[in-house]
Amino acid sequence: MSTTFVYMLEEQVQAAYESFRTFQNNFLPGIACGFDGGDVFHVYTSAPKVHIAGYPCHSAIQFLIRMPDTEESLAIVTKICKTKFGNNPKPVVIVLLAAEEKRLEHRVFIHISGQFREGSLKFIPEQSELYSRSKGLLETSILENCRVGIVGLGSGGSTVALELAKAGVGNFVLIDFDRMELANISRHICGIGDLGRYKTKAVRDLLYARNPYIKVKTAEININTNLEKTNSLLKDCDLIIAATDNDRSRFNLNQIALQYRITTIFGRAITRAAGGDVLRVRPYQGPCLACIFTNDFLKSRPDEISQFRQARSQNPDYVSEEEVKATIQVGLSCDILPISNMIVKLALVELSRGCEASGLVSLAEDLVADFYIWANRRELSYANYLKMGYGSKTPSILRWYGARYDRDLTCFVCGDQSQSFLLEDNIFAG
Amino acid sequence: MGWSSVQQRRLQAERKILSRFFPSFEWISPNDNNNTKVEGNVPTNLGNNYTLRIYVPSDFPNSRPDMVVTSPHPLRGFLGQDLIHYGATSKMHTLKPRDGFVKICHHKDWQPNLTLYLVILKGRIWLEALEAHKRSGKYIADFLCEMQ
Ligand SMILES: [Zn+2]
Repeated sequence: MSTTFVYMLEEQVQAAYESFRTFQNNFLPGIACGFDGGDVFHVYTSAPKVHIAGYPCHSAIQFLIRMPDTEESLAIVTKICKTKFGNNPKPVVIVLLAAEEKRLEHRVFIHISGQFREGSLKFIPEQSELYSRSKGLLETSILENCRVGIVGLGSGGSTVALELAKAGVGNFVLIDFDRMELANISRHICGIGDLGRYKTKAVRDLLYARNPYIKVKTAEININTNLEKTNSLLKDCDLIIAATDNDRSRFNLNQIALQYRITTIFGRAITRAAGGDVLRVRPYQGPCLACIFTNDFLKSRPDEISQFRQARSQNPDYVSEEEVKATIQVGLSCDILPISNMIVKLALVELSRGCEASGLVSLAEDLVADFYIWANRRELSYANYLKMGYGSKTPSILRWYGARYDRDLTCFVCGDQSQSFLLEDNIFAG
Repeated sequence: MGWSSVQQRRLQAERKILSRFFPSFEWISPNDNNNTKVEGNVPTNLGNNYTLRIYVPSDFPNSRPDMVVTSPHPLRGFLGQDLIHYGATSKMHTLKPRDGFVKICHHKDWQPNLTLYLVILKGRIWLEALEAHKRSGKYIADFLCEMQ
């Protein structure tokens, strides 16, 4: 028979041991989940932050003065099993721990189908070790201390959040007021198991599943009507990702970027996700959103309309519900992914900036443009593109193009006027 | 609740422009970002006086300010009908009324680069169209399309 693996969080074992040492608390009930007919178990001392999968099982953690031999161990776990769990048909996972000469000895036994078998206990390490693999390319110690604000957790923003967590970013602020609905399932990283939940919280749990030690703050607010709250949530971020689905929120985030001088990356898909664009706003150094997202520009590259709320807010009161519904044209998840991926790369370049040791130095040399255009299909504003073929000299689908846009000094949002001093008779001060 | 410093700078610029081109406009509750309004008189070419009120939204300039006609009240049309009953209609370039006043539809695609000055200018044009409607009975939209 193959080995049964049992996983525990190192941090929880540590805390349990402290409680044993301080309060002589030698028995702890555990929470366990089993997988694949008893092949793998996960044991927790308290409800985990991550999604629980598998099927629920009984579990206990017993501290001992010394680790006994197999015969004695079996006697101990048999007794625990009988007194604590009776004749329950469910599997029972019992972890034995003993601190011997500054070493934590451990054994684990699983009671399944009326028999005990010994498993192999594995510990899920702390963050620094979890992400040591990407060291060298990414300066994980720097990313661990970074705080990234992500506003909008639809199919785009949620993927960006997950990728940044995987890259080792240690702190997140997630803002969105939407809940997971059936219509989202086909494109979102969260699935049916998260229906009805706020996207912020569902995504947070997915991030914890990658790294239980990251810090995630969530806010279920509409930033357009809660600007002050949004300011206070984002002002200490090192980077902001604007992945919302409407211009009003983008312009509000542009304003926050300027107010607190935080580099902000805007990403969006255009109609039916035929393509998309990514804009990096370096406050007062490059163009701001308003420098580029002019009316003419937006008319030539209108947003992808993926849900009713978004469509309604983009139409005047007198447009009927039916007409509004007709404007919803959803693109494919695989057409959103390249846009999210570009946002992630720009984000990692920004977060690693100034760090010589970063393996992204050469990437930073390539990503000098502030605005990037992507085409998924030769339609709409890309209808005139030549077929991809073999060359690479003319614009084609499935390639990124950096477009040169300079800061517009006459821009009413970021131009010289916007940096004027506040006057003596400032009637707008609180 | 107050305006952020970036917003304060912007509003300061707006105030400067308005004091030059629409000096009759006054700021109401300028330091309360949930209640800030600008209100003033706008004369039409025929010399009739109207009062326009603009509600400056708390996330100004990133969302469209509402603009209503507060005087005369009620605001009457061609046959003396109260225009408020039109509600939101593209024919009259009006939106759902606010505070019992007729709300003018202006700048369908709002941009933070647009100023309150331009909003009032749109209001003025709408008022001229309203007077043309009163003379002819044609919908306001008919005149606004010609003017734009
Ligand atoms: Zn600008």
